[in-house]
Amino acid sequence: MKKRFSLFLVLLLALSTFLAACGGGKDNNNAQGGQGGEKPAEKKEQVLNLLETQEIPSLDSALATDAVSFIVLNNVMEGLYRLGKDNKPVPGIAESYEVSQDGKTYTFKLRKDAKWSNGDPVTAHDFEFAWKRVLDPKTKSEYAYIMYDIKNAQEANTGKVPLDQVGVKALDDYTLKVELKNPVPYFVGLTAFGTFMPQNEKFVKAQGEKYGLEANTTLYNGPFVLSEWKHEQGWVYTKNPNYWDKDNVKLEKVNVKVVKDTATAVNLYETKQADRVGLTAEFVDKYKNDKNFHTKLEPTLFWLRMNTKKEPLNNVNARKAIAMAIDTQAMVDTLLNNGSIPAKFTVPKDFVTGPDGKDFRDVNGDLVNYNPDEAKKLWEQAKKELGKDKFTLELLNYDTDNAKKIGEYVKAQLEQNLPGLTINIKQQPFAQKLKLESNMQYDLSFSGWGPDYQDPMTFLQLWTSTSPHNETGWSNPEYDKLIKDAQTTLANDQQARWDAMLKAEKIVFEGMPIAPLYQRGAAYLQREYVKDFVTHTFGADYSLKWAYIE
Amino acid sequence: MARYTLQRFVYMIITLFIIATLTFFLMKLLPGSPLQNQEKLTPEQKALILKEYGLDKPVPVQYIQYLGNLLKGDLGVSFQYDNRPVTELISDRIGPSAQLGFQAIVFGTIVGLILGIVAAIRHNHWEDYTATVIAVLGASIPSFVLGGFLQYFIAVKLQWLPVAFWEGFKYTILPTLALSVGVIASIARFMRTEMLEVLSSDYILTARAKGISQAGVIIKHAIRNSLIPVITILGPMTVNLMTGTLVIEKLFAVPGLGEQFVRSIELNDYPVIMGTTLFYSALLILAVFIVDVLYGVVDPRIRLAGGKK
Amino acid sequence: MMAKQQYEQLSPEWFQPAPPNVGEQEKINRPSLTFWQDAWLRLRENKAAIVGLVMIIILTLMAIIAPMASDRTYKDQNLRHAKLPPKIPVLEHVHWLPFDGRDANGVDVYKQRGVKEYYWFGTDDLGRDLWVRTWYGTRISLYIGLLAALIDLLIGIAYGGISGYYGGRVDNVMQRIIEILNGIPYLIMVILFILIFEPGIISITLAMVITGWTTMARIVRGQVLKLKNMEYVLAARTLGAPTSRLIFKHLIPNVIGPIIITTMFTIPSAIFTEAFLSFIGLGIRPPEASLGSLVNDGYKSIQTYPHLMIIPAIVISLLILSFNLVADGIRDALDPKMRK
Repeated sequence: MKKRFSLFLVLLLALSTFLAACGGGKDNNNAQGGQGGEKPAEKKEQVLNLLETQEIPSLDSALATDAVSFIVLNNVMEGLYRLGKDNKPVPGIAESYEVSQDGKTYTFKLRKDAKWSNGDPVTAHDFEFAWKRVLDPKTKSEYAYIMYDIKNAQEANTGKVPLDQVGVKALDDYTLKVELKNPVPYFVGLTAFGTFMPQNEKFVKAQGEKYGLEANTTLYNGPFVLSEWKHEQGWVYTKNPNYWDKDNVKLEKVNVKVVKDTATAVNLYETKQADRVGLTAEFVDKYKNDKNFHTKLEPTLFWLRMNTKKEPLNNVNARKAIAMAIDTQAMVDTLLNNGSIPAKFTVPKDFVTGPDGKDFRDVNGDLVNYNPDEAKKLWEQAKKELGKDKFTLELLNYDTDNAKKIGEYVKAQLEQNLPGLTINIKQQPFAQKLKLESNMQYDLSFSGWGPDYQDPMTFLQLWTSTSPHNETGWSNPEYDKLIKDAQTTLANDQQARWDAMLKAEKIVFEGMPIAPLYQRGAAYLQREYVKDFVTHTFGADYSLKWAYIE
Repeated sequence: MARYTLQRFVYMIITLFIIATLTFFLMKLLPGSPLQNQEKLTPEQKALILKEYGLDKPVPVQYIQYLGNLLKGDLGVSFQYDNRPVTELISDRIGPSAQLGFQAIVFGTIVGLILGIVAAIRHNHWEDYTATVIAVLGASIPSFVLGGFLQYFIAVKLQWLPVAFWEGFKYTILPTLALSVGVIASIARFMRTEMLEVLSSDYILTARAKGISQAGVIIKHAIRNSLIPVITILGPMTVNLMTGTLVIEKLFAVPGLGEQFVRSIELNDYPVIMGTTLFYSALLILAVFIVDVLYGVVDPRIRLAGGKK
Repeated sequence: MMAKQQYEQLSPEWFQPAPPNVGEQEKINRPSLTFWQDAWLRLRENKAAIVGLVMIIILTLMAIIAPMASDRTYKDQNLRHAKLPPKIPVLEHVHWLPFDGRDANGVDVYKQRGVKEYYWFGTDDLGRDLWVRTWYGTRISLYIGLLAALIDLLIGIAYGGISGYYGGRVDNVMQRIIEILNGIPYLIMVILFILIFEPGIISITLAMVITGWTTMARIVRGQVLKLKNMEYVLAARTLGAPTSRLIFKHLIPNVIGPIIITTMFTIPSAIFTEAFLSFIGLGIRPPEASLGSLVNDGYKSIQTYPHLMIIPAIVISLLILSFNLVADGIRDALDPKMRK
């Protein structure tokens, strides 16, 4: 009897401690909830709560490689230009620029009221220093190649010429001259990219290896500064009082927390601890009728790469059959379910407009369509040409959730629509998959590409025979020539360059080294009181500069 | 005992050395580079950067360099967290992982022991069956599923506890609960089995015959003698929990070591892989050592190899 | 008073030693049973164990028959029928049961989309029949779980037994080997496995066995350490029993309890390890399914399509529960001390 009683007591004690703890939590959370959004009056204090999927690896613009770093850099730093609300470059630290006749020399005039967060003025020397630091092979920058359009940049980065021969020069404190290798029509937009941010030489040298690793070992010149940075937990942006355009920055504070799990992020949104949250397909069904539900289209494309050296993929009809045999509409509607659209092209929609102001897509239209009957015909023809009836192909895939589903779907579609074809799925961790692809040890591979700069070229140069990212073995001399012309001889004739790129895209679909699958979309929830939260199609995902709470 | 401890310490160093060596060479067998932007880099650009890092040298040379630095106490810098020292990465993140693991072990062990003891005393009664069902659910429902449920119902629907983050004790309750279910399950099962066995042994009968009360028999004789298998699994389990909290850490946004380790393997972040492996292994070996010592404490009949002389 | 008088009336002649009756003395009244017959008898009396046994048989039969009996296969996709909730004839009219084809908002999705067929367990996001996939997955999981548990059992017992029994240097070296194996990150070994081997049942089992057996070995070693100095072992040794006999006849049978418990935990952990492996690419190839991978995949839609996770999770729990009940029964049955 005694024994049982004491056991009971222990259990009771444990339970009561637990409940007491729970009770404490409840009170506190209600308080938080009240603060969060039930009283919109309080919300007018300009505080935004966001979530990010990972820690910031580095705030050193020379070393940044990932989406989160670029987002933070975009909000705490400012380059010569920044991407505006319509994704067109607007003046940042530079007030204006001039281009030489041959399109190879840019002269930027910098504003005189731009300051670093320690009060130093932002000068042209800060840009020269930062850019040369990126190109210094000792910096080991993985984005150095993005500067290769600048004269001697590639040579300096590979150690063939000294850094002082790079075509970047501060003529005086407020004038920066940039010489390019070839005329590059998209260069001004490129200066908004994270790698092109300025750095304060004195400060960077004083911090040494610690630069960019903590909130107080970094210097800011953008709309916000990082006032707090707790590793793996989150960071806080505070309005920068030294920013030249501070009158147009309305948010006082932005709290960002690191949350890696989508379900957790959604739960935080539900409990009003986050104002904006990304959704995966599973949650879209739950929220698609919510008034705060939105989708956006990103300029990232996914496709099946085909190894054109392997049978039956060495046969163009077989490749075309594969590209036509997958019902991509059903795939984006049911599987992805996040605003993605079927890709029937290799330059994304809503990404770039030509000299005539028309979207690249509106001019070239759809270049391949789902057509199982035609696919079957082409497939039979290919089988006849190859003299074989049965084929087994390996589909190389990523090991992520979405990729897994798509792999299963593609397998079923191809096996169903192309008789005699068997697909085996081979999932590999990311780094290993890339290795297999670059060695062309694959048959079919599910892969994708996001833009490096705002121009169709970032997608089109992939398929030239010398491109290291081609990885399909496909080559076409006419295509190579069109791309080369667009990069060199036609570079100053916008319309001719545009036409060459339009024509080039069509050639890809005559050879069909890839079967396009979809252009990625993103679904998210955003509270209605968040206004002017600007998202971008290139570089950083979003800008907080203009955002405000209503 | 001192001699035994010293001997074990030497073994520990040797074992760690072998683990480090094997891990180093196995890790180098993984294809791919540690570069973050490798998808966009051309092979030439990759080779250039890797050369700057000294990764173009033959693997044995790299190994010797690594060992040299290790002796100097230098674990190197991370690739994925651009140039952050590995020691700093580990020390920053071990706190939450350790606290979570420790709380789960303590809570799970206490509840597991109580369940196991109650089940054994009330063998084949409803208490026993209840304990069995709890143990089975604990073993067959993965902790992340339970964590998801707890988060949704307790934090979102009832708003009793915070959804996620790591900002004080009440933030640790849900992840601890989710994590401890597995512990409860296995401890309860082991304790029950062992207790049943002990309760039917002769010395218990003797004790009873001597007129010692039921409580006395159970507390003084039965429980102590049933602890062996529980202790055996406790060591590795503690380490697993401190390190294998990956999914729970992700779910509750705990800034711990688990996910970083997995990412470092996926991204070929060599210095972080090595540093974390060494750290985990040292913990594991230490835990095993403590378990071996505890054997002797719990049951004096057990004499360990070194202690004989 | 009475008693004393009666005592006095007793005659000493009445008390004669009975003649020794050799036949009667040696006669065994209970039927002679071998160890296993005895165990089976005791197992049969354990109701919980019998329930468990019956459940295992039912689940196994379902795993074999259900996928064959259906006209759909585990890999048939039909996107137009994707994400349907469960609907079972007859039961669909009982509204408190979750089999009426209504989703979380109470909308009859079957009617809304004009689907005539019945999907007993609903469908997943590729429109595959979950009924078939669940039972197909049970088949794979049972196979992998049992195989992994068996291999763990064999290696673990032998290794732990030898290590604990010999002690000293042998034990020392063998324990260090375990430490080394546990020290090398599992994920690295598994990724190397993915690169070297073709995915398939054999590679999955191998990948699970690399480190899986060490827990068992540790448990057995701990127990053997405890038992080897027991009086009965000493007695057996004094009588000249060889080492192998000591280990397998005296030590191992007395360790059977913890061994069975460990095995019972190996099966679910093997099922989930398999899910993890198939997630990173080594497990069964994607269109195929296992219970673990079904739970893993379904978990993500827990708020929108709970049936995707709950159904396979229930099957796993039932499976593990029945294994546990049977194991408890077996343990009790094998232990002569438990005899009532």
